[in-house]
Amino acid sequence: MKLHELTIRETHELLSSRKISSEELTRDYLERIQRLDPQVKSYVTVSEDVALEQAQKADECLKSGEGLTPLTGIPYSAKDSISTRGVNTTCSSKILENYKPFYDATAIKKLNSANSVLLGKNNMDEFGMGSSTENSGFFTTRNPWNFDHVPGGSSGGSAATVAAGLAPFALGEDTGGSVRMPASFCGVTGLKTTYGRVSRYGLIPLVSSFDTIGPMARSAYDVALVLEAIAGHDPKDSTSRVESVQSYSESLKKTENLRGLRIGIPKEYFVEGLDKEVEASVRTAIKQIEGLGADVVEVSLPHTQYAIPVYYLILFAEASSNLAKYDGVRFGLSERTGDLMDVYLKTREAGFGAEAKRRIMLGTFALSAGYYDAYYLKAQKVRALIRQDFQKAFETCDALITPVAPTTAFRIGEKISNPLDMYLSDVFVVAVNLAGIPALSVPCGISNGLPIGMQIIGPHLSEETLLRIGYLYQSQTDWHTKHPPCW
Amino acid sequence: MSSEIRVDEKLVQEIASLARLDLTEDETRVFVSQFKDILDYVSILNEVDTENVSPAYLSSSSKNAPREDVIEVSVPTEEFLANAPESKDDYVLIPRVHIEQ
Amino acid sequence: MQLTYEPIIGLEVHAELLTKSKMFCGCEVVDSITAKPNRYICPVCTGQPGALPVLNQKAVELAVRVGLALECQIHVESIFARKNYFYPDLPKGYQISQYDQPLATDGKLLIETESGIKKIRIRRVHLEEDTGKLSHANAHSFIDYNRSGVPLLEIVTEPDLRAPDEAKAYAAKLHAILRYLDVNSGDMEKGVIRFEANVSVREAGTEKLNNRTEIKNLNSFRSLAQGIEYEIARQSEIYSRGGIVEQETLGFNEATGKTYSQRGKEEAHDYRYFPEPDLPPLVLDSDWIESIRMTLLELPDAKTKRFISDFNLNPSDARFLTSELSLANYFERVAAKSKSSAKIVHSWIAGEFMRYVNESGIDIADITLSPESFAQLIDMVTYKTIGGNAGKTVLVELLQNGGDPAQIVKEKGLTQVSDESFIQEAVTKVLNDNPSEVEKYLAGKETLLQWFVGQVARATKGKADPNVTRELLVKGLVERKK
Repeated sequence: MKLHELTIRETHELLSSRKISSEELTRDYLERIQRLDPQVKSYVTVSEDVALEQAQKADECLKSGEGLTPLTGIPYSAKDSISTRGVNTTCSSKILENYKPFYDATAIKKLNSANSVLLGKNNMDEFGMGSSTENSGFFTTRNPWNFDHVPGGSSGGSAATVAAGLAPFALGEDTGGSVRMPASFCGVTGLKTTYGRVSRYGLIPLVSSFDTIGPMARSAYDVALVLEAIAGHDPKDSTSRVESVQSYSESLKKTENLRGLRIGIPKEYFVEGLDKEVEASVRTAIKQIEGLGADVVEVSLPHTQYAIPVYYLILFAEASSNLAKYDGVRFGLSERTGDLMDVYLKTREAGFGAEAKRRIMLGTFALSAGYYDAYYLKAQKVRALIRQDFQKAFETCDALITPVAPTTAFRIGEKISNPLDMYLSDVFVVAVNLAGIPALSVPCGISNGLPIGMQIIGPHLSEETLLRIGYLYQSQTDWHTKHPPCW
Repeated sequence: MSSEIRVDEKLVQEIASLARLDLTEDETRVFVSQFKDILDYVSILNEVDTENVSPAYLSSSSKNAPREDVIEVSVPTEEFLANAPESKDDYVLIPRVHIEQ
Repeated sequence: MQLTYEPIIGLEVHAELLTKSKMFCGCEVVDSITAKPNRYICPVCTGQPGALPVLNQKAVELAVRVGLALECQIHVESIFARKNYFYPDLPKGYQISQYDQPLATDGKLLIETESGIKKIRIRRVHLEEDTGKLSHANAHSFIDYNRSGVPLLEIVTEPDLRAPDEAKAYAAKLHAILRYLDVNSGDMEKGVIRFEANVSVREAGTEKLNNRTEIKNLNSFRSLAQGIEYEIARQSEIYSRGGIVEQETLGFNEATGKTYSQRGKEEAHDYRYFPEPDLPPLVLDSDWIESIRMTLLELPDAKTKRFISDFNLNPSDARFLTSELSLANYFERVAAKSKSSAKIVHSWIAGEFMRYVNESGIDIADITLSPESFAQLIDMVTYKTIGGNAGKTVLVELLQNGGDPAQIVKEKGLTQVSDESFIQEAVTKVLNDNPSEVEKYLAGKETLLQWFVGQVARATKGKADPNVTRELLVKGLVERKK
């Protein structure tokens, strides 16, 4: 078996028994990236020097056995919206093309102290604005299963990296499906964490009240290992949760069945427009989960149809404000011709792509005097109702299962000219962000050579339950072990 | 919502100026039509009765946990200025801010 | 007929809060005038992508203190909002402030005007962060972010002020309160308190609401009064010509004393406020608010009242002494140790003591002269151990170099002598040495008596008791007339 085919758990065994070194492992991945990524295009930056330095440090730690964790010496990549000290962090935007943060995001800091190895930074839709990576300011990442198709977005680079064996795990970021959707399109396991479970400090924001960092890996177990390393309260993030972090991987080892668990199937998620094969795969998966002992009931989330307009209105507003700091004054691109106003206008004109400009425009409009109540305030009120829907559902259910996306990965170029059509592909994922609850995307089928994913949604801080369902499902099925042709 | 709002090039240009975006004529035209589509689409929210609903601004139920007033070490000036497009004598430099007198 | 115009004035005061660290990060708050640029900065206060604000508890406490002192309603839940605008001293592209749910509202402050006590209503008191600092030279502007993120308190009045002097009185009163509460250093020249005035005028007797202008960067009481004065005249002149005042933001030029248009700085004030998603609502415990109320000091008004009744001082003297907490405290300590009346203690403090303080620029809190020694000195003069002029000399010596007053008096030989034979000797000599002045005096120029007293004091090096001197002089002069 080749090194890149191993899970984190298996790799850790080889590292801790010193059958391989972290440096060998890292060089193996760097070589694969060099060979395969020119086709997949999942990395914006490969941080070879940093990786080798960190690998050597990890090897010292493995030698001494001091401070050893399941992630010591394990390489990974991070979405390019997560700040890495001294390593370019661009959000796939020309406006941050040469930006090198002088500090690490808390999640990166935690992985550094676990002695994990940063291979590089993954491509994404510019600032997370998109569902395909076609809105990257640099290039479009391809779906490793079929290079003519998108990997999903906005964490498309991270999903493609894991799917193509270019990193054993990646840190993604989910604002409105940005972890789950590409995980589904690329056939990997991805977790959208409870809002505040993983610190946002150092995560370059798209929508501050939706953004969550979450792991993407090849199994629910590996996701659990990463989650327990990066989760926890951070005094630098006022919105982070204070509850202590469970040992997710330990509890997975003990789990045997799903008896006593009630699974809800929201009827609004199985409607017209849902691809037949996607529906069939998800329904089969639900049957298998029922077979593991869970009770399955139908539930209703009556405000589902309003999730997309609510999501986008709030997104436009917050994004327009979050993107104001890119003004050519302190960092990033700066067009220095003419006066200060020219610096602002020309920098932002040259630095932002069409989708970023569109959303900044719509957000500026939605917040401006006279329109605030009709758009932003109205959206926040409907958001309250969408949250209530979930609260009600969780009074009777422990988790909900739905498809992640209505279809498998669409073709590159298929939706890029119609922004509204692209927004609608987020129909099953955005409500979760409005409620701030966690959801796991698990591979559950393949149609025409492209993966299908199911979404397991739970109440706040129910990550353990979601991982348990995913883990047991994966112990019965092999969809998560299937590999794309380029593997 | 959108029915009362006249989306035209003038509105788009006003918004662009507030957002410090220098739109070309083509971009302005495209935005006018996309604005209309998107505002039309979100007007579906008018169907929802929110008379007695309070807005849900936050995603977590946490309340503010302030920090103690303790001084922490600052970042070296040169690390901050390394990203600055232009700097001089430890200041960030920009074209002169226009001041009317 | 000449119309008269009535000004309607509201004030916004921005005061930096005396915290050790900034509002939303741990960077040190320093004197941004003297500190080297961009030394006290971090990802948060320079607006690095991904950095997040964490609220400083002390800033909240200081704000609550002010809210309580201004008799505001303190809201147990308030929220932070983003105020969006572009300016290079604002690193995030928005300022974190409070908007529709501020920390405190509906307070009041009493000021003294020519026509008596007047109540100025306080609309709101809220927390926000300061911006960086811009300086300009030739074709460039220079940005220093040391000040970025320093906690600011904004205190906004209702438009209750009707004259530049009222605005000045309000500002001075508020300044004293902020110093009393130890929430602000009061160093106006360092820009730690800044004023903005909203001014409109209307024909006297009408209730019309005309367009108002907002004058920014008023950084002293003088500028505040001048700027408002100029603006009232400017607006009145426009209306008297039949014109219309434009609603706009103005700057103030200290050199010319004139306001100027800042058109184009921010268009249309469309700040697109929305709740700051990075900060959950600020929820205060009402017990905690009460515990702060308990620690509130006696404020200037209450102290003035007490000084009048307890020390039998007249109102203007009492007000002078309570204008600054350190002064009031020092006075009280000296008065407690002195056997002389409070009026006498006041005249010493208001006179020679304040002259020294003003000339040396020393902070009263840093005065090393102990109230005991000061009181001892005052009593030596009151009870005529030494003369008044000698007392002043000793006071300056004590303030400059310290020491024991009795010791200094002895060393300098300043003890006052009322022994008649000693003084008589000097009197006789002075009268003998100045025959022409004696003649003038005898011819009716009696004001010369004081001059003779001075001459005797000089001859005796200040030791002669002036009352005895005067008596003997009159006696001697009368004798010469004969």
